[in-house]
This record gives sequence, C-alpha cells and structure tokens, in this order.
Amino acid sequence: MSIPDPVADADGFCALALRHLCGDLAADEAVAFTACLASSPEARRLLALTARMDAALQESCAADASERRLEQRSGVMQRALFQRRIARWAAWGVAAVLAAAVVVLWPARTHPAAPRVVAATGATDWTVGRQVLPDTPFRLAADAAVTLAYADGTELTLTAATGRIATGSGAKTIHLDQGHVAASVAAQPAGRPLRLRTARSVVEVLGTRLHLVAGPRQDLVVTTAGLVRLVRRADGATAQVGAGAWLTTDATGGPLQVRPCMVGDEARLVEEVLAGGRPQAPAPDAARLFAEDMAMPSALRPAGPVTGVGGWITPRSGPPSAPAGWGAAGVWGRICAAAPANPARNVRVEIRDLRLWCLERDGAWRQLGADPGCDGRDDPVRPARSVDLRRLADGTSSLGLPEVDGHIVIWPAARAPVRSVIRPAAVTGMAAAFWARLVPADAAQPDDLDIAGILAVCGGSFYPDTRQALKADFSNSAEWAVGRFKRLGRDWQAVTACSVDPAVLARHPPPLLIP
Amino acid sequence: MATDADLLHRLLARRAWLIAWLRVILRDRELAEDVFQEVCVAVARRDAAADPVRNPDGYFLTVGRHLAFAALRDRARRQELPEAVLDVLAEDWLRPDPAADARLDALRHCIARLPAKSRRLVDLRYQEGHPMEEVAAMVGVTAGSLYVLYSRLHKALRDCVTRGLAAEGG
Repeated sequence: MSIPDPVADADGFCALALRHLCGDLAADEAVAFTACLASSPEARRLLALTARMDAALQESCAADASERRLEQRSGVMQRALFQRRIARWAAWGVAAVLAAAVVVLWPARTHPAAPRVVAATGATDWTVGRQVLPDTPFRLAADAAVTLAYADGTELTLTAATGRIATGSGAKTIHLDQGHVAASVAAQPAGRPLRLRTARSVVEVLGTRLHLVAGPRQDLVVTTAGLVRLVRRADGATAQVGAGAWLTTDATGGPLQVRPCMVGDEARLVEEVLAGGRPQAPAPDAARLFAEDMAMPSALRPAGPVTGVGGWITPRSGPPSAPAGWGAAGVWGRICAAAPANPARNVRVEIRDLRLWCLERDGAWRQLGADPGCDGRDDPVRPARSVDLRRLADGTSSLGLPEVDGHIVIWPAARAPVRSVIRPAAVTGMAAAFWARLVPADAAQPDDLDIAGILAVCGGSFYPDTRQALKADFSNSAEWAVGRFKRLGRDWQAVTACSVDPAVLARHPPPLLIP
Repeated sequence: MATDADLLHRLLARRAWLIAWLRVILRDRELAEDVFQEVCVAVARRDAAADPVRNPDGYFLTVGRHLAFAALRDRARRQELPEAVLDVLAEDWLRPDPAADARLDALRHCIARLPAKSRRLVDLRYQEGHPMEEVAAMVGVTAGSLYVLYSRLHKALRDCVTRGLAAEGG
C-alpha cells in the first residue's frame, strides 16, 4: 500500500492525516500511515500541524457561534433602524411608525439566545413551543416541571422551582430562588459559561450534566458528567465539582467539601436537600473499613452454634459474581451474644442503613438495595422465640436480644423483594454494610453497656433468582462474602462484607454513608 | 512548578492543543471532547499532597493518553497507533508551534478573510459540525478530494496566522 510521501506531497499526506483523525483510514492505509509516522519526522510534524489546526478551528468556531447569533440579531436591528431613517427622510409618518414598531416589537417576537419550552407538566401557562424571553420569572408548583431547550442543545428541567431566566450579554443565566434544576449543558463558548445563581452560590458550567437544588437550608450541586465550578457568594470560596461528585453549601461557611456520588444516588441527594435535610456524607475511610472487615479475625466467639456462616473466626469471600445462570444477590447480618453469654441486661441494639452494592465493570458501585433499618428473625436452628424488633420514627430499627445467648438474623425489608436482581456479566464484586450501636433499653435502669458482649457480622449470598425459598442444605445459595464478627459499643459502627480485593477497594471505595 | 490551581487553569488554556493530541489517539472528535473532560476531572481531583508537576504539558499528554486508552478499551475499539509512535509524537507535541497554537483572535481574523468557498468549508465542518461525507455531498466533491481541500485550507490559515504574528512582531 503506497501513501503520499510527507516530503514530496505534503498536501496529500495532510489529507491522509485528516482522514486518520476522522477515523476514516482503511486497514492497509492505517498500517502504512503508522509505519510512515514511526520512520519520518516530517510525517509526525505534518500530523501534529493538521491535528492542532483542526482542533484550533473547532475551538474558534465554537467561540464564534454565540457571538454570531447576537450579530444576527444586531443585524436585524440595524436594518430596521435604516428603514426608519428612510421613512423619516421621506417624511412618511406611517412608515416611521411601522419601522418604530418593528424596532420595539422585534425583541418580543424572537430572541436567538432565548430557550423554548419543550415539555411542561402541571404548569398550564408554559405552552410547548413558547419562547422564554430574557428576564422571565418562573414560579412552579410543587408537582410542576418545565423543560427548556436552547438552540445549542442545552436543556434545563425546572421542578418545583421559583426564580428568573436571564440571557444577559449572551451568557445563559438562571436565577434559582428555590427548587431543583436538572441541566444537560452543551459546550458553551469560552468565557461565557452557563450560570446558575442562587442566593448562596453561583455555579458555572461550560458543558456538562448536573443537578442544582436551592433547598431551605442549603444548596446542592451534583455533577453527573463533565466539570462545574461553584462559587459561594458569601465569601467567594470556590470548588470544582467533577463527574460523579456532589457538594453542598450553606450560609455557615466552612470548607467546601466535594464528595463522591454513587451511580443512581442523585435522586436521594436531591430529595434530602429539597426537604431541608442534610445529605449523609460518604465515610472517608470506607476502603480501609471494608478491607479490615475482610482481613482481621473476629473480635470474640459468638455464643452457641452458628449456622449458615460456617467458621466464625476468619472472614472469607467467594466468587466476584454469581454462578452461571443465577441472577440475584442479597445481604444479611447477624446480631448475637459473645461467648459464653452476654452479661448485660439493660441493652438494645440499634441498626440503620443496611445496603447492598455491586461493583460493575466500569468501576462504579451500583446500589442494589437499601433499608433505613432492617427486618429480622431468630436463628432458625434454635427453638422458635419471638424477636423484639421494632422500627423507630426515622426508619431505623431497634432490637432487643431475647436471651443472653440471643442470635438474630437480619435483612433489608424496605424494598421488596429482599433479594436484588443482578447482571452477573457486568458485576466484578459485591459489598454490603449496615451500622449498629448499643443503647440502654431503659434509661431509668443502671447502664451496663460497658460490659455488654454483643457481636455483629455482615454477609451476602447469590441466588438463582429473587423468589426461590432458601433450601435447608443451602444448595440454592452461594456466599459472596462473610465479614468478621465485630463487638458493638455505644458509638455507631460499620459492619461490612465485600468480595473485592483491597487494591481495587482503594481505587473504588464503596459509597458507605456516615450516619 | 505549577500549583494545582495553575495546573487546571493551564489545562483549560491548552484545550485545543490537548484535544488535538487526544484525536490522534482516539480518531473521534466527540470522544476526544469527552476524554478532555475526564482529564479536567483528573487534574481537579489531583491529590494536593502529591509532588508538584514540573512539566504541565507533559503531564497533560500522559494523563490524556492513559484516559484515551481506557476510553478505547471501554468501547472495545482498537488502538491504532502503537506506544512507540506516540512516544515520538509526544516530543513533537511538546514543541511550541506559534501557528498551530495561535491565539483565537488571530485565527478568527484569518477565517474572516477566506474566500467564500473556503469559508463555506469552515462553516460546514467546524461551525455546523457536519461529518465529512455529508460535507462532500453538499459541496459536490468526492470524500478524497474534500480531505485535500481541507488540508489546503489548513495550510492557508496557518500561513495567514504566521504572517499576522510576524507582522505583529510576535
């Protein structure tokens, strides 16, 4: 295969380089092109020149696009002014009036930088197709949403929001007094980012997808693609929020902390901030917590026989994904007395945030199930005993151990089914966790928490599907991991299990949230 | 040595330069834009306690290269240029080229002075974003001829920018 010689036929070689950049070379041409690059400094120089000029042209035209729209509008205005002058010269009053009308009315008819309504729910005055002119206020009811689209493909969905839409000096600007904006922003011209302004913050966007919430107590930015810059208006503090991260700001100042956001967790964050809550932050040492729970020996031996978890001393992990043909996974925990028995009498166990995740091939943790508390039952091999397990007002659970050797199995119940569907081919590891602590059962009685010997362990299994009843011989379940038994105390403690190597955990820590 | 704030600032200023590098590896304009965003995120998330970057441009090329390889792997696409070729290409990339790295205003000035036919080529591909085969159909030439037309257009613009910079004493 012969290709143009970079020295003798520079134009031909540059055309070939451009075809390479466009992914348009045939296989044999690509081989010859690569060989030429390896051997010829001139070929490399021409490729560099071609690629850099191509990118510079693209950059220049992108920066030009917005200005061009404004110029078009300006041109229209200038033509109208010229007509008005002609009319004045001719002393034709009617024409002058018409020309003036054109000048006055034109901006109301169309505005090249203004968005149009492309969808509206529960907002009858926002008709689809209507252009939203600069400085238009919006006040959407709690169940109303409006989607606006700009000519460059940028889309904004306003939900239960009040504020104002501006398009000053060619830059798109939304003033959000309260509510939620979900934005998918096309690349913006250099120096003219889209700006989302609240009372507390200014968020600058050059091209990305994000959520901004102006909540009762704080603002929230969640970036799902690209990069945005947030400026806190109170003190000018700034932070960059990249893809897969979130940040809250309030009026109290303090450091702006960008936190990782797990896939699919945006809705939870938005709801919590809209409701005036403060989103839970991820545990900064999650990778270490999970790794230790799978590496360190159990704290104490559990009392009595332990079924279903085999040996109790050493944690263990199974295959990273489900056996062939299986398609479900679950998480479970155990709360039990330490051997020989728990001496404390005035004690209850509080349990919260029982969660199950899988690590997918793209490196993202996906939440499969979550319960603010848990459901539970007594260990099946023991004589049937009732379990004192109740939900507290915030959805967490409180458990009283029925006997000194109490042994309770727990699982998530807030979302049926208890087991979650997985795509085994996409899964490279599993993780689960819950938080637990001890509290006095009766505040009026002596506090004996310090002598309590109560353990907790977390584990999980794969199943063929979400419905089959568990067989007594465990032939239709396969553990993906069992963590270590940890001794519970007065403070919240994470109890975890995972089937992921520590090195992978360090790169992709599970999104464990601090209570 | 660049601080982390300087580093991000410089990266954004070198956007076109780095996207050109990414396109050589990826051969896909949109994917290059995506990977550039990932480079921004990687730089923004860079550990503040890490060693300062002594050669920012070299650092951007390396980070971009790794993220571009990952993007190709994720999409099961073939890496066309071997690492050895990219190594020598990187040396060319680090060499300053006043015409290729021209200020946008200089380039825009030259674009404005293009003849109508050339200006239309710029509009169709860079302003309106049509793929090459669509541009070829609109202009009424074969795809092969169109690539030659664009390579000549690049050369004309490069010469114009170089002349302009020389006239400014730049």
